[in-house]
Amino acid sequence: MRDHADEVVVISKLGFYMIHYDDRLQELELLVDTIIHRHEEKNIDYKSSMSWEDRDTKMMAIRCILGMANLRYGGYIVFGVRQQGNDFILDGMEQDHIKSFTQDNVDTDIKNYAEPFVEATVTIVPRSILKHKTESIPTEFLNDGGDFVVIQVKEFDELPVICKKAGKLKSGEIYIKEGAIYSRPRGKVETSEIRTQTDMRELIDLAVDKNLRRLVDRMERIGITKLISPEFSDEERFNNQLGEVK
Amino acid sequence: MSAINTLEVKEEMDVKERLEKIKSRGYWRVNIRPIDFEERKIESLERCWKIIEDCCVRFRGWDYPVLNKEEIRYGNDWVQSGHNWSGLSELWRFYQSGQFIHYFSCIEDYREIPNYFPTLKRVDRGLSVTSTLYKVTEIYEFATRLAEKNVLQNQAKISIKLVKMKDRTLFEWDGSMIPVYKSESEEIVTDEVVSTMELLGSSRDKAIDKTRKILSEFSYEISQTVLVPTQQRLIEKRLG
Repeated sequence: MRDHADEVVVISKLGFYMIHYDDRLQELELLVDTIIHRHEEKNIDYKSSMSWEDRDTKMMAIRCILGMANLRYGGYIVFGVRQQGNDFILDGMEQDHIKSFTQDNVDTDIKNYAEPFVEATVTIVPRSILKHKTESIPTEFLNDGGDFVVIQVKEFDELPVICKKAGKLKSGEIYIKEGAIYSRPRGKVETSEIRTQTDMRELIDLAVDKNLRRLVDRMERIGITKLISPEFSDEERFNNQLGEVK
Repeated sequence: MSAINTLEVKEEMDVKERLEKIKSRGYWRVNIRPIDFEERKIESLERCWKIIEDCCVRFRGWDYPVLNKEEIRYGNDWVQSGHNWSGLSELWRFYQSGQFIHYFSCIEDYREIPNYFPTLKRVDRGLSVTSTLYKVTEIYEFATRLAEKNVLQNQAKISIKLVKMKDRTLFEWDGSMIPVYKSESEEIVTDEVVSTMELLGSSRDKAIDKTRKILSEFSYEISQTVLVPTQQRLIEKRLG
């Protein structure tokens, strides 16, 4: 526990966080788990060390952010992990590249492309705090490089995120399309424009769920739900969950 | 590569129709879940599938539960699969809350499958002692593996229900048992709340106890020492 506390103090001195120790430790733990997970998932994307100032990097990352914002629970983009075949190597980031990832830079660029705004948090995760979790990773997948950058993307708040401006790669190719809705479709670990009715249906369901939840929260705040539904026990909630397979 | 990469969403099976088919004859209903409800204990549906893949019990030719990629279906907070083989059917669903529900046909009721159950002809409606032990052992082994994945938190509820059991007779596949033990109950239920520590330490003993409980509903009192070697053969995959 002492080790962890020391590490957080170091990070705090670097000015990345205002710390509520317990919450922040849990979040850091989650980020560390995400870095060492080393398998791309619908909500986890890995990228090698690159600079946010690089146009192509920015375009790739922003498209990914737009896609993850449309997922339930959002997602994580981890910079400093290189894909080699089916393996992911924990290289870490080059120092100059890390400096380019400021919260302001990332927020400004997201604001240019996302409608409504996407909340994304940039965190620099020191390599030192990975140590206690990397013992089981073969050494060939662990290089002695720098720290890692993780962009944590929150799922959209109320309305699905739409791209409001086209974005081009250095080659001139349009990589982000104005008016497109991006997501990370089922069965794939990539960001792409929503094209199937199943993926669109999933996104609409998510939006409806969120708005319903908001409505229920509001009803709870003003005490309406107590009038129309009793509190359920855990047992009842498990039973209710079964629905058609009860 | 994510687990989801290997999956494809196939045309949906009709859940209602599948359940009706299973329930049209004798069937088992298994429910394994934590005690405390947390709707999204498991962070994603991909993770749900991965957990089932990792926990699947493969002691013999028929896995528990059957992972049939042809029938994978995703809901808002669950993943589901099943199969239908000559009427012998199965349907399971695993929720992000950690709740697992599983329906499957009583294999003994599908005597029309050619050359499959010749010894069953000795009884009208039967339940195999050995198959019951195997199945309960697999269920408890599966629950233990869920506990190892921390899906069940500190305590779990394990419910096993066998339905359409009235007037059914116990038998052995090799015909060695005289079919005189009959159930008077339509439903046989074993329910228990168990700490995960206990499950991790003694799931096989518990499976034996539960099997004995089921068999006792047929007025058949069998000692633990008779069942243990049979269970051992299953676990060590020494089935002839």
